Amino acid sequence: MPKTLNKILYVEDEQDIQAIAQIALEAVGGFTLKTFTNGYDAIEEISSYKPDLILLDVMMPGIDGPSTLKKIRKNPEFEHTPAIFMTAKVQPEEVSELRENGAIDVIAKPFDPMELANTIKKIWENLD
Amino acid sequence: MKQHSSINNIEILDSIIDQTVHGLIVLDAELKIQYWNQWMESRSGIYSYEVINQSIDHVFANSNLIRIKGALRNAIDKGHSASLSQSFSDFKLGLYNNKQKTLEIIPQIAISPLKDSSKLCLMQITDVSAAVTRERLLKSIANEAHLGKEAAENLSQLKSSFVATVSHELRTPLTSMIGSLGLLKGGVVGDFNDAQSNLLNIAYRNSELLLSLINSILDLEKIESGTIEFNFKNISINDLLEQATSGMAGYGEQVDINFTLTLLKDDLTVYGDYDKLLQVLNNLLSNAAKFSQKGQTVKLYAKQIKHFVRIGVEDKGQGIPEAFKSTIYDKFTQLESQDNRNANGTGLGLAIAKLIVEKHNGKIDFKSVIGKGTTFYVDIPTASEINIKNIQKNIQTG
Repeated sequence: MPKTLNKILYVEDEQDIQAIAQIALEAVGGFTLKTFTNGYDAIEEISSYKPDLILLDVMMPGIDGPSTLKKIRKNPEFEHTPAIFMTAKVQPEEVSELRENGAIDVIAKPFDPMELANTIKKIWENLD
Repeated sequence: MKQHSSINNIEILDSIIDQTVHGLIVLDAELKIQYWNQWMESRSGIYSYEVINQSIDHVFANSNLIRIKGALRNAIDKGHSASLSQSFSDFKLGLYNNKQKTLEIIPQIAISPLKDSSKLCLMQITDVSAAVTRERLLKSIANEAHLGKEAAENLSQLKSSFVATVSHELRTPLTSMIGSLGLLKGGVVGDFNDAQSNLLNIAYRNSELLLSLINSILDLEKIESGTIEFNFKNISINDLLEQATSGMAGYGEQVDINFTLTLLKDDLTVYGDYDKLLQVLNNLLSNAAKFSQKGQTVKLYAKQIKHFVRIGVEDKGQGIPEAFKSTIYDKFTQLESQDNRNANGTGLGLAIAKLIVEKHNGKIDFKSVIGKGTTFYVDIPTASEINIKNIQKNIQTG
């Protein structure tokens, strides 16, 4: 059983979606969030935030979600931090590709904001 | 021993020549016309007596005269034959004398030296107008067909990328709208009175409808253009049916419809895309629920029919009117349910279901009696080496 999920680092370039997910995770789920609109800032700030979970959008300008995660993984401190991708592309082969990229799960967009926190909690509870 | 023909009469030979369907002209070494047959007379309107002993220059008036004269000289001087084909050119054999006539044909001209006579040569003119016209027509049809195909392919590509782009661009803002409305509706930022809640529900429901429309259009477009990826593998029918009913249980409670399931006694395997077949069953089950009365049962079952598995979705609902049956798989076709519970339908579900089933080399069909109910059934071939190969071929050819 992993430790309690509290701090989430969330990267999403669409600010409206980010705002919705933030309310869904903070107000509904009771998590603590640090949000970024691009991968570079997240890579830079992660050491000072030390999240329990990384939540990443896949398609983003500049550096995309999978590349952001790869760079984060280079830091031994976050080599094993659970990561979840959020994407509108949920074709099975794309999902398995994201898993190979180090994600523990993939959440389909559009998500139900009332259910988002629950979904993440369930994924967290199923972690080995 | 040499056999002698009975035709040695010059009159008979003349008659043969006159009846030939070619123009025959004999020229001497100075390229003066020595013979002009009846075919030439009738086609050109120029009589033999008008051209005999006339130089070819005075009779033929066309840009190819140099070419014809060259061939005639070759025949007379060197004994060489030649064939001058005018296929695919608009060249008409012009003739002139005081009558200013033109032979309105597309000619093929054969020039050959005459044996047994010195310095005479024969020019045979054949009318190939009909053949050339036909060939040209065929060529232009082929060209047009080719151009048409190219244009259709370009148009279809343009449509695909347009639909994909527009759908993506529409989906992003819609996602934000649905998310915001969902949070408001969920009371995360405070409570609303009944009227406010009602309006919020309307906005939420319609945004969701819009989203499912966009998703369906995108699905349909992807299947039609062959850009959707099918993840084919061997799947268990009983697994698929169990997943379909358990997925619908929540919806069933919501609309007060009971879904029942009859599994196969001996499970069967089909070669298919699990998620897409599930999408088909979800569509059929939710349609069946929409057109049933509250408290009624919708049955899901499977049975084997020879080399097929038949999956049936049976309801005891209102039935499909006769007039609606022929267009039921058309895009944007929707039947009104009695209590308007289908307000969340896109009218694309069955069109998509049909395409998905056909990609599995299967068939979708229904039986319906007004007031008694409808059974939709999907027949999918059971997994065998041949079926798997056929399906793979079907996918490759789009």
